[in-house]
Amino acid sequence: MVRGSRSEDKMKFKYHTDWRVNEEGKKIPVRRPRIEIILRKNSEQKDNETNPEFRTHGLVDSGADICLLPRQIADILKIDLDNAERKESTGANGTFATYQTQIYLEIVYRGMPVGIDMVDVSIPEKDPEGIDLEQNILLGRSHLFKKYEITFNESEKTIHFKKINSKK
Amino acid sequence: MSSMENEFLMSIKDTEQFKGKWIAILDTEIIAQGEVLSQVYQEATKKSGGRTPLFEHIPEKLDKQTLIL
Repeated sequence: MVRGSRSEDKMKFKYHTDWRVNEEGKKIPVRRPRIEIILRKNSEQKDNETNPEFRTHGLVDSGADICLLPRQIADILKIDLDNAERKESTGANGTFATYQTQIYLEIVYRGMPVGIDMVDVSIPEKDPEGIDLEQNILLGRSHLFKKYEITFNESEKTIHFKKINSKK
Repeated sequence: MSSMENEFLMSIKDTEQFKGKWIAILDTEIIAQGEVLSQVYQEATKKSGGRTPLFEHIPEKLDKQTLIL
């Protein structure tokens, strides 16, 4: 992948395909609005010692206020949790203790990173039960939804990003 | 069109062997795998020559179908 963050006014993604096993034991595709992302502690260039980056998928979640990231990825990114604010977060399965801080988010579009911003992120002290958080990093509304008008097209299985205040 | 690594990931139908593991993909190759992310990350970083691999966690149970978050 070519380095160097850029800006995009419009982006369209196909839903990501996960493979699951149904009741008859057959593999079936499950499509979800998961997009490829890159995370770093800050917006500076990647540096394995001081600002490592992690490339994975995040689930675009209009129901989440902020992003949710598993603790083990925060550790990879060398996020200083000692100085992060401690708060309670609430999910479908109840309340859990979290650290709240910010990380730098890029979206990978057509194989190239698109810089978004520092975004608010919640990091559970312990991964909440019932959510496979490793597979479902949540990309909540804070920052991302303020920068882009985001439309889910469930019948086409696509997700559209349109930069807010972009020239038409 | 998404990244080469993402296309490769979505082409893997037989994920049985990776259940419960993290995998690291560079180009069209799985360059590291294991249950402990920090170890997989370390190994993948050594092999990636400064590039950034794509990391994905393959769920332990493949029969989960509905997300309510």
